[in-house]
Amino acid sequence: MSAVGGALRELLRRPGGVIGVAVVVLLVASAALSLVWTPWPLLHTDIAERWQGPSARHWLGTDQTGRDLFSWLLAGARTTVLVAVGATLVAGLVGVSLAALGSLTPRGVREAVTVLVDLAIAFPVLLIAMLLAATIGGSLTVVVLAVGIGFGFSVARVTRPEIRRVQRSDYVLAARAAGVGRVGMVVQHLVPNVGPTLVVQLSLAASVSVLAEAGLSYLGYGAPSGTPSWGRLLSATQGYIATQPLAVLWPGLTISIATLGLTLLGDALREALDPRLRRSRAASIPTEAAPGAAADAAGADSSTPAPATPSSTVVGEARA
Amino acid sequence: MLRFLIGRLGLLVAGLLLASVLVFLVLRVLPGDVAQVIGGTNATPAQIAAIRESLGLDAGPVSQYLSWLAGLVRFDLGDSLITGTPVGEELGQKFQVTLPLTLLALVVGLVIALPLGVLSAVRAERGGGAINVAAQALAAVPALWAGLLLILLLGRGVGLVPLLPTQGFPRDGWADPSAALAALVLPALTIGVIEGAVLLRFVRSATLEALAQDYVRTAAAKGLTRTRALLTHGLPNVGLSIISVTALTVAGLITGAVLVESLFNLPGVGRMLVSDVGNRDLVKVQSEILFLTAIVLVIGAVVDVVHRVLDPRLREAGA
Repeated sequence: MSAVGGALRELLRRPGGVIGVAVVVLLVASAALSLVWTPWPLLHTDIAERWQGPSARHWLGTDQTGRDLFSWLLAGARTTVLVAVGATLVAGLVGVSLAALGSLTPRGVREAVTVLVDLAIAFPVLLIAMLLAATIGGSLTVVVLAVGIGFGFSVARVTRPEIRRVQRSDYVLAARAAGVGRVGMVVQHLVPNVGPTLVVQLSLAASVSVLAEAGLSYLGYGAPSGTPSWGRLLSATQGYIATQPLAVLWPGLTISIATLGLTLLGDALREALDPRLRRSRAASIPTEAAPGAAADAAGADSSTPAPATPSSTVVGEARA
Repeated sequence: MLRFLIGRLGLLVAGLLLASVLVFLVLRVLPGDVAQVIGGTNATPAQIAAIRESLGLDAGPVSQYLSWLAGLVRFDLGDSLITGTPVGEELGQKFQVTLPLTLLALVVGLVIALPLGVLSAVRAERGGGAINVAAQALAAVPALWAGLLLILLLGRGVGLVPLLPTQGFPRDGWADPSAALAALVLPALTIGVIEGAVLLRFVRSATLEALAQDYVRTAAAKGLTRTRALLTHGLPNVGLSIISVTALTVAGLITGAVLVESLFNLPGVGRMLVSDVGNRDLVKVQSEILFLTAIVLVIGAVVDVVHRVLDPRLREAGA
């Protein structure tokens, strides 16, 4: 418990962490609030009031049928939260299973799984979604499964080496010698050591899911019509961009803020949970921070860490 | 080197086979009766039987897969279930839009990412951080929305500076290269700006890493400015990691193309895929997805080989 509290304090010490936590709280609060209250009923339309600008009556204005945009954005958070939670769970399940298969099994299986994950990681999430949509029809389930499976490969790729590292560590050897059983080993050593990496990955999966939901709903293969969704709102208003640019502005802005918030949260979590990065920040050694930053940048498509430049010091000296 | 090439080629073939098996399993085996899926709920038994026959569904799944594979090897991607036209031909035609679009987007991305990424690392204390923050924010922007904003800014008939067409592609394709190119500028900017933001952060961290290396410090100590030391000694290393990272953006470029082609109404592979998924033209969908995946895998392999050739450390290690 105190470890979690410490990590949280560490997280809130960073600007990115504060913004990330704020966005997540706001997102969940909006979704919860919209279940009991929205400024206007979602199904309320009024042609006489179409394309209103922002006003006290309609905070963000109305669309072509006079629906209140703020109410729809608020309710759209429900879809976003639902998809993010679902995608994160599936990504965690797929990722941890593959990572376990790639580390805790006999050597032949282990290596086959690792190669498989390396290959599968190249498969873009959007193509997985299209593949599923062609078979079972577009729905939010497709979005959840596609992001979950697609990002699950990334989770596996990043988590597997962590498990291997713990497996080969001296403290595990010592614990085994002291007679700690399999369950004890997982609870005492594996979870605390691999957990942080996993948490970071999952927050990145959530940020990918927000973009994926928006994109797929826009293409017509995500949220079904009538479901409040930011992507659908974007596609519903985009045709009117020439005359009503403001109405197009809001959903895009909301999607961007949610995605950015979750990405920042992932970055801040990485720094807050990794004691090595924490120390390096204090000493401000850029090399230590660099690999983390590189992996963030990959967040959008995959979490593949930036390619390592092996033993560059040696060659560097020769060149210099 | 030869061993490496053979190994990498083997991995590529394994990847393609894996992708083809997955695509086939999801599209042809999972749905149960594929003929029913394609025919839809209103199809008559006779129509279903016709579909079944045209797909060769009476044969077992393994022999169906093998006959698809045999076709692929001969570049025969089968015929559309709806129009009956050869899929390969249409794919080739649409690729004439998607390939230039993604290449242009990559150029835009690199033009943004390389100078700004290096700058944000070199000037880490003076404004470099701001570039990094801006890039992170930009990377979170949905491509569709970026496209809409660009239309608002530069779109003909809509934008503040109405310069560029926002819809469609010349009917006669590349017959009029300047018109075709003009149609691609806004879509390519849309994808390129966002991918550029993603790339920028890789360039930045690679540069930061190079700056901290002993050889850059030594060169600086010998009298070069830090920037000069970085340019002459650090950049070769930065360049290598950027080549690898560029491979990673291929997936992003393809995803961007699927979305942006729909937004800008471009007749490319992405929009073809989206509409075929809607039509449940499974023969086309399976070839299109495999085609796009093959691009990602092949570029990944090529980049690995190039990396190997250029990096003396890896060359020696593998010799």
